Amino acid sequence: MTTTAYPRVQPWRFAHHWTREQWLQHILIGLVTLWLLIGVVLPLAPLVSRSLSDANGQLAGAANFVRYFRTPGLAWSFGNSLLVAGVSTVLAVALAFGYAYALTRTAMPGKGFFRAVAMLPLYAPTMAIGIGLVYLFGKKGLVTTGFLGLGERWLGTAVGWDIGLYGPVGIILGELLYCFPQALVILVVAASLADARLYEASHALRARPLRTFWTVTLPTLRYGLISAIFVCFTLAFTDFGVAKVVGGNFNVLATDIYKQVIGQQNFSMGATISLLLLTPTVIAFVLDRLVQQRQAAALTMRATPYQPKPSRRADVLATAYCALIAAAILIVIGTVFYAAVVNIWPYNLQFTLRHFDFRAVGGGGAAAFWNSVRMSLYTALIGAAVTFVSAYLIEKTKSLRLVRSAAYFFSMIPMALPGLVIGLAYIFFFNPRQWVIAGLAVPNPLNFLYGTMAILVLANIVHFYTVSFMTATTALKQLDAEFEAVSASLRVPFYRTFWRITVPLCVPAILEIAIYYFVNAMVTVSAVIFLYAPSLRLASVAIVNMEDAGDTAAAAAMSALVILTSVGVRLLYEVVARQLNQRTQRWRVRET
Amino acid sequence: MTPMTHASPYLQIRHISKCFGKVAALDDVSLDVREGEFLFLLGPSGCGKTTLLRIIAGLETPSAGQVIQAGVDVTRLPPSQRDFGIVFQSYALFPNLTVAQNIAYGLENQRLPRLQVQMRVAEMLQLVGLTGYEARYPAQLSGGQQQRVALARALAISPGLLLLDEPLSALDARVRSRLRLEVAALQRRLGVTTIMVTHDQEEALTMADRIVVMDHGRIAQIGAPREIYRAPATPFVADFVGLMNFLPGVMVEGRVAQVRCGGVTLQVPADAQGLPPGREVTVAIRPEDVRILRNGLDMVNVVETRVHEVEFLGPFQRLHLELAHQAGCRLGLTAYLEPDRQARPVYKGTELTVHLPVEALRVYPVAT
Repeated sequence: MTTTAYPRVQPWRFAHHWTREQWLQHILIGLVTLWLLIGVVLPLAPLVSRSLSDANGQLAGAANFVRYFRTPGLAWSFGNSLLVAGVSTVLAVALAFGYAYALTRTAMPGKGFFRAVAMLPLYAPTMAIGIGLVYLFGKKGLVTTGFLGLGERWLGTAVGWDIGLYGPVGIILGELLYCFPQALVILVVAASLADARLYEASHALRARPLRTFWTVTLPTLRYGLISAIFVCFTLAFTDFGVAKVVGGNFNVLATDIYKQVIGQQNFSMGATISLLLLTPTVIAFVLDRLVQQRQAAALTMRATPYQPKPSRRADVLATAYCALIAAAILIVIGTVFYAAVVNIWPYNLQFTLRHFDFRAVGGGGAAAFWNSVRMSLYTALIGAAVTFVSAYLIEKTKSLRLVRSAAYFFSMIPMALPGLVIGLAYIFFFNPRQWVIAGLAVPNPLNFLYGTMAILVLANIVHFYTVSFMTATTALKQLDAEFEAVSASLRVPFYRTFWRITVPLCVPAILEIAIYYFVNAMVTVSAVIFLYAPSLRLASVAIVNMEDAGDTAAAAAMSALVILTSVGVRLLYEVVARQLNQRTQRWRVRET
Repeated sequence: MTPMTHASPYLQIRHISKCFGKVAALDDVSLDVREGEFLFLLGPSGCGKTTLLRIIAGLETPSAGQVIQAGVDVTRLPPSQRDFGIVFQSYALFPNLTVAQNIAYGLENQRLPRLQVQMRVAEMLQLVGLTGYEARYPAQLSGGQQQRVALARALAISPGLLLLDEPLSALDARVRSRLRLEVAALQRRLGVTTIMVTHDQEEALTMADRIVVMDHGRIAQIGAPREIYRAPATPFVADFVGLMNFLPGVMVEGRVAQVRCGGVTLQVPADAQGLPPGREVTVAIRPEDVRILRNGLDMVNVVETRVHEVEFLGPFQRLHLELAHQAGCRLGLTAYLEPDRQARPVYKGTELTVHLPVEALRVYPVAT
């Protein structure tokens, strides 16, 4: 031991000795935090303050909430929303569970087809699902009228069946279709993580199939099930499109917000209802986080993938089950296309493309469609870039730990925010020429964004940010944790390694994020319905307006265009991605 | 080289401590690394050896203390401003770059002429014996080849210090033992100051100039492999490096230093004389030092034992012996039996007389 006393150094005290590279990193992390603050966190503040003030902007405390629950028509909506969301969640998760089981645990044929069809509702605006239901079960629907009277003519007896679509039945059916693929995605992923060795052990111990199901299948799917329930509930609780089309007089929170804001221009009440809409989704989000944290431990062990063995009875049963559900989805979506190309439903079923000429109807017409395509493209390109860079800086850099954890937390918030809430919050945040902070008027530097394409793109990126961010983070976590350390030891700046190593390795994930943004921006209505400018109409909003005005056929035609575009882009992506992977991901192939 | 610079070590670790929250990963560690030496940081997982390596590399910042490399205080410098090459357990080869591009990665950044880069890459490939593999991707190489590419990449920039973080532990046993010799030979040829982290004591014993044995964030012993093995400073070092028999006992009065273990009294080296009678101690002896006697000789430290278990290990047998015991005090001893076709075979239950040579015993006072 030396006897010399060396000063004990506190490294953080010398933080000002940053290198130029560190400066750059810190500035970038600061920018990421800044955009998350502007896009996610700050807009929530005026929303809360507005919910506590009256129509003139005076502070009213909880008066809005009291008034809300005293107004019978409004108070009912909360219960209605809970009811339809609860029922459709249970149904969607139960049906998706069977479907996922068939896809992962049986050897039935046509799995690729069934999987693709089940995903179809993800590529349709929820209004389109509602419109499909209207043409099937509405007053003049195919089923209601006994196949337009054909059934009666052929069978000699009335076979029409009125299910009483408008109201809870219609909303539940629509939300069921909307939530089904979302639940399925989660459950299929959870099921494919299951360990085949557990099944082998169960088999070796001579457990009967039912016992295996209860002791192996269900426990491994537990976290997936919980997650699916929370996700479906949040989606069904906050969805606007289905309820708008088939809700009839049955009010739910989402349509109430729309009516208060667009119909009555009562922004404060809109804000109040927004917070009510937000409460269950925030609770669901927090619960889901807590549950998923416990799962992390269970996933770290390496599992052997399960290979289902053919079993005639199970496979036939699974095929029949999946065929039934796939048929239901195809019929609803197919009906939208059918309705879009017949002359006058249900009297003149001649083929025509006249509904695609949107000049005769309101809503913005063809321009609205192209605006949507442009907006989705920008959202995809900017969103993918911003999301990946943000995830990289938060996940892979080492400095400014507290700032990075704050940014990570901000990145999780959008998951809990319904689109309507984002839209309304953006009105309050970006629209005023000046903000009043603690009685002090400050000019709003972000006001210029209001009514532009930029705010629509920002709203979309924020709306779908969390899922994209998680995709990027997962991809980054799979990279060797020491790439950055090795680069630093070779004295290569981090941005060079980001560009030459990190980005090329993550190309599949980046493309996946871009396509996710594109499709969702294309079909979403909730976030943008409060934000579009008269000169900048959008396809999904046009569907709402045309349907509102009774131009259902035109709405169906526009829906068909949107579905074709998003499915088309997805297919194009599959082809391009395959080509690209072959060229740029050559190193993945192992030559032997 | 002036005597002055010769005297000062290449790398000085001074009073380094590192806390993760309330857990102290390193507790006041000081260490000098000489120019050109091959130093090993050896210890079980969680002993702080990897943390120390990462602090030397600048990948972690110490809570206290200093790192001085080539006379410069580098404690607060980021990795990119230090002078080292590093090889990780995972190798961290860039999978989308070829072998040649991986090795050239650090060179290209120095804005060297392309021809010079190519020549250096060829030189490095030759050094690690992978000439002809330039265009391969890492996924197309075996584990041992990947390891050598990582080494070539780290050495390509001619670092003053080479850091190796368990570079051999991801390989299978046969490749590992071959690479041990290769890496050690390469290090001696290049003369680059090298610090290697490992939990494999055999690796450290065969390759190192000096070994630093670490335990719970502190240095337990520093020394040459032979020194560490023959004269372990603590029971921890004795147990961690190689196999060791431990016999609990107490010091007893006598002309020479003696310890009573169970029913037998053993004479121990004179350096234990300083311990007072009645002091609880542990007597340690390597299994290979336990001599099995075929004919009873009149010597000190001759003990009667019974074979409890016989393990056949190919070239020799490992015997688990039980010392003749009394009052329920049972003592175990492991010894090796080399094949001797003439000798009578040994089975479970066979009675054997063994000799524990005084000079082979080490005495450790039990911490009170």
